[in-house]
Amino acid sequence: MVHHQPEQLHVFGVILDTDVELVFASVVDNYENWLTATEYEQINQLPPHRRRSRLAGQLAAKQLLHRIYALPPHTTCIQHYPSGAPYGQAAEHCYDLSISHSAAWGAAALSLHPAYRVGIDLVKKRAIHYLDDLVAKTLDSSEQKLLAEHQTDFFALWALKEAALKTWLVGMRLPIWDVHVRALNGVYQIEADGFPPLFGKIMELSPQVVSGITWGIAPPGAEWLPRGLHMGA
Amino acid sequence: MDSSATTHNRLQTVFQTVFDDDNLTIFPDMTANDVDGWDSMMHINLIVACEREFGVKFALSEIAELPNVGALEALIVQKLG
Repeated sequence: MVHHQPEQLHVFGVILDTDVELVFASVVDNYENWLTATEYEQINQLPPHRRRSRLAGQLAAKQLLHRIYALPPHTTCIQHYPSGAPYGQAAEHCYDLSISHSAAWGAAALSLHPAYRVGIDLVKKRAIHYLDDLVAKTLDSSEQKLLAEHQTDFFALWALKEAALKTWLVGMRLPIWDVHVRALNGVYQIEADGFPPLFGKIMELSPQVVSGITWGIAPPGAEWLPRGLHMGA
Repeated sequence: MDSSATTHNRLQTVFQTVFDDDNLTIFPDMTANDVDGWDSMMHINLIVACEREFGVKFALSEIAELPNVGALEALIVQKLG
């Protein structure tokens, strides 16, 4: 018997096609039939705060697959590559995904573009002690200028950088201060030595939460599923 | 030279400040799974807070290899000599 206490979770879904589009922003508080038995078991092994955020991310992913491919949520399972990057699996089909979660918020992104991967990161805005030190350590002079000129805020820049790490399938193996955000004529470009440049967009999902979405060509040799769909076991 | 007890207390204060929780109590096996809100941003925030509090600098390899709070405290004690 699995037990969980339903909570109100905020979920968001984004797709990349010719542009980045917010597909849904909804509140979920009844998700009994969304998870497989295995997923319930895994979720229930987590501490309460991790359970809530992990659920939010999984539910966002399942709802996105449901909206785009009409896949019933209880038939999809969120799996992970050896790198830790997620994908959705339904029967013999696999779907390249990016997932992010923080507290009661979860977001998922899916690329419908034939050549571009997409990454998403969601950041909950909060008071940050030692913010000046954090800015000095993680932002270069050009990025600090963006803050000084009020073109964006620290949380948005962080979300773009983390989204880029996911798009590149490198995760935390690349220090976040080696990822650089540039703003050119209202468009964000994200760069890091040895990685293909990415485009970026910031979405204010709520007053408390901002997301960064990045997209572009995956690094050579990176393991992922082109077009978001793969036929085969 | 900072005593181990003092280092522990100062580190606990750092955690309490970073996570805005005066009741937070650190322990050797503590990890990010034990603290609500300990995500990648807070992790780096912890590191810069420790660097400021203790006057030390951490190399990236040192940060990446820390398995728990006990290891962080031991590393700080080592750096303080």
